[in-house]
Amino acid sequence: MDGLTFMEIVYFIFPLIIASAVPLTLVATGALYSERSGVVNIALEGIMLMGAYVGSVTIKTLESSGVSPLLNLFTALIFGLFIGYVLYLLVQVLLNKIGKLSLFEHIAIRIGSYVILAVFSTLLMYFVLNASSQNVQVALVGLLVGAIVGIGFSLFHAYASINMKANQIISATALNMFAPAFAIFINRTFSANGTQKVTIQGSYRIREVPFFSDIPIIGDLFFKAAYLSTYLGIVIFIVAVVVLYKTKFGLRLRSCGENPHAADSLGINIYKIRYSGVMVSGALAGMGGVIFVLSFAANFNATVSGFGFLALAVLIFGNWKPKRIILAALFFASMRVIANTYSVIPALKNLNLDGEIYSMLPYVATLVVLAFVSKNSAAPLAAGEPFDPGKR
Amino acid sequence: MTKIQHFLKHNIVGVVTVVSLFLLFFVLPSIFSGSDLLLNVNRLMIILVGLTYIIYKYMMFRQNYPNFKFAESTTLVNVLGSVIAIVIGLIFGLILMFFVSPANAMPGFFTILKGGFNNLKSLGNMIYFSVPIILTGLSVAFAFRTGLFNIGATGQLTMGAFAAVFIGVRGGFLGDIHPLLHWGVAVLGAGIAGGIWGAIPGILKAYRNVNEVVASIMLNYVAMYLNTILITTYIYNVDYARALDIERTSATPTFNLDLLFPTSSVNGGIVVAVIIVIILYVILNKTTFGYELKAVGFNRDASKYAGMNAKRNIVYSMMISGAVAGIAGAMMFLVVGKHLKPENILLQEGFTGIAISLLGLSNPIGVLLAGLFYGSLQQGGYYMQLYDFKPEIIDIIIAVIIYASALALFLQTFVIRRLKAREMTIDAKKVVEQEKEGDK
Repeated sequence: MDGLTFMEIVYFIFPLIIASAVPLTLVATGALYSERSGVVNIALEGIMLMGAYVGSVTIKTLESSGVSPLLNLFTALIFGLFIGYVLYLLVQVLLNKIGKLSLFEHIAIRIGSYVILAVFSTLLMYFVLNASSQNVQVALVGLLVGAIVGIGFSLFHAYASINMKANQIISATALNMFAPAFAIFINRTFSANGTQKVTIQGSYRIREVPFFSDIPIIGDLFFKAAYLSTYLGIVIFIVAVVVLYKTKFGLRLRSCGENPHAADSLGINIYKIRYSGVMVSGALAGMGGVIFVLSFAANFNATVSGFGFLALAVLIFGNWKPKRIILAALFFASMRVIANTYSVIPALKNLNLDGEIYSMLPYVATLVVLAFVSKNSAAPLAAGEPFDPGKR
Repeated sequence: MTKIQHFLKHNIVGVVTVVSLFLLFFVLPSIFSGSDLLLNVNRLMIILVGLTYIIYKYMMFRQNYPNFKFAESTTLVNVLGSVIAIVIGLIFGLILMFFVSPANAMPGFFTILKGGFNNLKSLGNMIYFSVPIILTGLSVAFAFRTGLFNIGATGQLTMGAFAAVFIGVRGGFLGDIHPLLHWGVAVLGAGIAGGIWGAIPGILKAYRNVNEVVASIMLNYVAMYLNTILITTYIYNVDYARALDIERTSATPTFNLDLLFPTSSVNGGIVVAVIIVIILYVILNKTTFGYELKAVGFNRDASKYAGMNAKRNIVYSMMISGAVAGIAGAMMFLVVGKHLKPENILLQEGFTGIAISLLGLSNPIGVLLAGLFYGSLQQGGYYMQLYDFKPEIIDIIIAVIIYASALALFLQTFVIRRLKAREMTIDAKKVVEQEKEGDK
């Protein structure tokens, strides 16, 4: 592959970078939610792994049995509720623009609009799902299962660190230890040939998106050989950021991570907010795990290659801010891709460096950044501290 | 002389116990090597002597402090908390086993409980496999006692392992020296490499205020990749895709322990581990240096105002912690037939060390016991494959134990409440008796 031109290399590498960056960004956003609410969550690795395991088992089962209409309806319902919520956020912005409304009108419009939007998008989603190929249906169910498992597993961390005021690093370490052992144990016990691998048959790559792929450069970069999860991930990231920075809930969540006692004095339920922060991080990490399996491995081998910890590094490198998180994720993802493909790129091949140097670079960079900016880092002040109402 | 006489007079039972244990464990087996009867008698004797010693101690204690409230003893409460956590973990494992295969669950479970105490071979293997875990546990525990969370034991272990193997392979530069010295230099090199790797997060924490947990996680991965580069550059065996064989002179000596546990892979690592337990115990509990380290951990500002160099102490305690983890790496790979591999995989021993440190209540002696416990469980997991269970269930059990001990607050309040209730009834009985006597 010596004769590759520059553009060919770009077209070859760019989709790979995006594919790595999406799970990283999603999981880092999850970590952002958790840390902003005041709970340090280094259990992300374990949560990702758990989501990836159950998600890939689900996908494997559905691949052979097919997706029943009822399951499709359920998927459509969950995604419909989500899309409905997104549209509802837009409506809220509009409502604020309109100006003063009476309380009754306000409530009626809010609830009414949400119900209508949710029902509408559920139905739409259901028809789209029924029309689309089996692979899309399976992948969506898998992502959903990953998210649900992630929420369930993260609840253990939430319970220990919020209710029990346990050391958050210890309980997270326990979860990180539990997840791979559990996945290997269960899979080796129940799979037919006693292996720890879960192999997925189908390919979840979209060859090209109609219409968009015809756009000259952008079409080649973004709309060819991409994954469904990429687009989904981008949408989820945008929604997550809007919720965190533009809604009442987001403001409360951030306040819990900065000064829980002040937030408590204003009548905010710290426990509830922190639970939701950890649950969001669990959902995103679980989903990120499934995306990881779908886009790199095509089989689950009881590991997510340290993506959970890498996402934590992304969060820190991005200084707990969404825009910088994206940049950090792109940087980390490119280094990862270069480490695997540098032999194809003439300029890097001539440098004659080990691939490990590129793999190492993100971590070294994070350390250097930490060393220089930790004095004015934007880390949430109360992250890692259990909330004790008596301490005020 | 008088001091020793005084010591003997007041600790006669303890001394007798230690001497008899030594006789039972080390002298008798080397005379009659490897008979099953002997092992059983041994076990019985150890249990009897141990029980007698505990009962004796308890009675002496009761005599000296008749009004002592057990609920106020933090050590006792902590230990009971750990025991409850272990019980919870084991019960979880049992339930999982019932779920997987009801018929084999009970025999499989007893195999776990029996663990390394199956025969002399498994006992030796248990000791062999628990050495690196004890050492990483000690590393984490030492940092924890000084207020730092060393999640980077894996990276320090990796660097130590590389240094040790490098010296083991390229020992030629040392010239023609005594084998024990070659081994010693390799272990020392591992300690220095691990210490340097541990000092980095310490320096970052002390001077740049970087959270040591995050820094050590990053350094784990850096060490992992660096290790691959170093192996492939300096000591690579291309044919087998692994590091070159170490020279026999640098392998860990067995100190004749292999005569004691025939056919097992036991080596002298346990001696190193015990020595380090003693050193760390002395540093932490008997020296000003250790006191300063702990004080900085409790309250950095207060110790600064008391005239201690807080920054330097943070670096020192991370360095010591890293050095111990590095020596763990040496113990893992200074074995003939074991090879470092350039695989880009984090060595799990470092993370298990965290678990062991927590289980051992961050006390060096506790860590030693917890590490042996883990080794025993591991052997149990190995033998449990006879009943068609996969050995990963041990990691599940350990994870549940750690999770349960993270809920220490809950467990401890539970223990304290029970103890208080018990003592209150005893007190009430006493009062009633006194009143009765008063009536007479």
